[in-house]
Amino acid sequence: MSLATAPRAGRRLGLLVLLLLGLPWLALALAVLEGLRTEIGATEPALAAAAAALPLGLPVAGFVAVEAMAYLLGSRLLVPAALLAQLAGAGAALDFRRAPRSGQADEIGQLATAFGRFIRHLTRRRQELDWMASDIAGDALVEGAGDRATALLVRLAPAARFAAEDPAPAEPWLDTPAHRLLCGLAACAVGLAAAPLGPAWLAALAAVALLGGRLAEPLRRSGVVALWLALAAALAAWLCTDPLGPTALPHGLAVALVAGLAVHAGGGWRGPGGAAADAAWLRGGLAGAVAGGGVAAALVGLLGPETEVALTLALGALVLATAGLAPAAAVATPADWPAPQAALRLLRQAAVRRLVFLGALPGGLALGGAIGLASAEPALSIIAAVGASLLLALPGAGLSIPARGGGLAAVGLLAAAALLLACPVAAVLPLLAAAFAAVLAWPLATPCCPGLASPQQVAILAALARHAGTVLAMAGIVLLPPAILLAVTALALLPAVLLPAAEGG
Amino acid sequence: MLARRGFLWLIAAALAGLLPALLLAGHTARAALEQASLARLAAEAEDLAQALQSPQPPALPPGALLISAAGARLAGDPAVPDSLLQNAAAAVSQRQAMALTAGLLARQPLHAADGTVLGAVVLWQPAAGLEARLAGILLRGLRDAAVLFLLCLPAAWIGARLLLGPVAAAALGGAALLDALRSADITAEQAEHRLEPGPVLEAASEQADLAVVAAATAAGALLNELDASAAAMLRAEAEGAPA
Repeated sequence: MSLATAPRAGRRLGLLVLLLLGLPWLALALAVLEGLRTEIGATEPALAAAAAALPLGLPVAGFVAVEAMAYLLGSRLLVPAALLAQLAGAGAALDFRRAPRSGQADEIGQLATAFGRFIRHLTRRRQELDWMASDIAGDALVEGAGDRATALLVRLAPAARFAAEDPAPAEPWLDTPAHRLLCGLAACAVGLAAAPLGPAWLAALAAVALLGGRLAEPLRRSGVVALWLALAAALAAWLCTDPLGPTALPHGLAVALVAGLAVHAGGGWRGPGGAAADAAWLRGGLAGAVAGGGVAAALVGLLGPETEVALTLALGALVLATAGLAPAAAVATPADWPAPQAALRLLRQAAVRRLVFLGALPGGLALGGAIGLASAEPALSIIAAVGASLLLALPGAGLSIPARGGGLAAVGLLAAAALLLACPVAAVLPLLAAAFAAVLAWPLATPCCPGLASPQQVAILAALARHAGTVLAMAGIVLLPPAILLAVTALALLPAVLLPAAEGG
Repeated sequence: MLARRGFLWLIAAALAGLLPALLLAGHTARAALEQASLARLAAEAEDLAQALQSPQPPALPPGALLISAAGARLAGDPAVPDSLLQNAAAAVSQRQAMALTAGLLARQPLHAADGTVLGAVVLWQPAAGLEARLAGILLRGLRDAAVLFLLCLPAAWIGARLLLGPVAAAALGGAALLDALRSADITAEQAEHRLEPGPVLEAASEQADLAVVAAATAAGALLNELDASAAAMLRAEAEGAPA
């Protein structure tokens, strides 16, 4: 039993919210497509355009839901739990100078209340002893009694530290939603400013997403003025483009999504932690920012001209695979991170180079090939995607299990995206199915359930589940009617969601 | 309590996410309906223009209007609003289909044999029809989404309980442990005997968070030491007092 499991539980709740959101969204998208098909006919070009635009709703909705969940979890569970764990650690070291404020009615709040009461009680007991020693020193009729009392106080638990009067109130720190919104707008400004640069802006946007997570952090800490300036720049850049054009909404959503991902990677609802927490948080941020770049490139590719789609998606695949292949265990975080130039230093590390050249690059190339083939023949993309997944799963490449899970998640998503390009209407469902397979793959890819099975057995099980999930999704594309696929996907997701939060190393 | 809150957070976050998805779906569906309707209306206007220039012209259907080259209303459905006529009257010689606030409009010029523009036939489809079709599509989508959402709720409830249950139990256990230790100390203080934290810790620490147990253990030992120090001080005072 430990509060330390709260972050893991929070991550799984994040997946759960995707399930709770994804299936209704899928039903909504399918119903809208079906309604449009009935109303305007299956051969209308407008139907194909709608089918291409509707999938954008999933990442947007998913992002909003995950952000909302992150805020709720962060403010009500993760940050208070982290604070309590920190204070408990301090208490174990006999440091009782800070006490949490009384919490809410839930269990975490009850613990905060009990902890605060307990620390104040301890402080009072210690103060009473001090007063007693003072009284004895002042009133002692026999010489030496006061000295003896003072000596007793000095000898008493020399490591223990108390506040001079009342313990200082310790409150959880949390970024406010308005502040994070400003961060998003600031990152949006950068993306929009890069937009009129022409085709090169795709790469620029990915680069922004890569660094944006880190760049947003100094902005966030440097004050609100910088953010408001960035907001003004965003509005100016937006007005310089075509704000009322037909592509304004999807374009705006795509850019906002990229900006949001960058800020998500750069900011955090969890609040500042210790040095160790910061390192882990930054590693996650790096992976998240790279994933943001990949998603951005893929989205922009979907929205852009046909000739650039394959290349852009290949870039997205490469970046996504890199994101999946940036596990905490393999990539050491430099001590002086988050200076932007530290990214280059990171790339000089042998472990990172190995990950990129042995894992991400071949996988990305294979995925790019799959996507290229998909433009001619969808069935070939499946074969190529399976090949890419096998390549990513090769043993001895120095990749961790979660890394392979991430790579396979990218495979599933991008193969489905390839199908989306080749056959827009029919691929809405597989896109979601592959996304669900990816959701299934990720938690199962982490060795879990201590005591239930050895890590090796769980790894084998996880690998089987991942491949089964991918095959299921692929088969579902061709064979299963939507209702059955929905049910099967929901059932397949349940183990991933309901796995115990207490994971082994 | 925490699990119930987690379940409510899940619902709130999912609904917050579904809102932009619904907006995007509505925008997409509306754009598709408009585009398809405009294409259909333009084709119908073209067919009507051809039919009107045949030896036996048909009667103008509802929503159709015949305008002169100068843009004046010649014949047709009186229900077509004048605001649309202003749009239709601009550049009569050009074939055009556009979406306006009041509805969709398609214009097909009518040419004489020598190529001069005689006027144009205008077809209008009120916005209300489009909105009704859009509402029907979105309502069907919302109904399906709501059903799936409801079906997923049990999984979310079970998931929230399973995931947050251990955290809640650890927190509750920690709170109980700290309260028990504090109560035991107060009782011991009032009864003027020494606190024995060992049994309290053993009894209450099974479910508690490990870090809190460590803190309580250290604090228990400290309380014990405070007791001992207080007793020693009292002894020192008593020894120093005159008999």
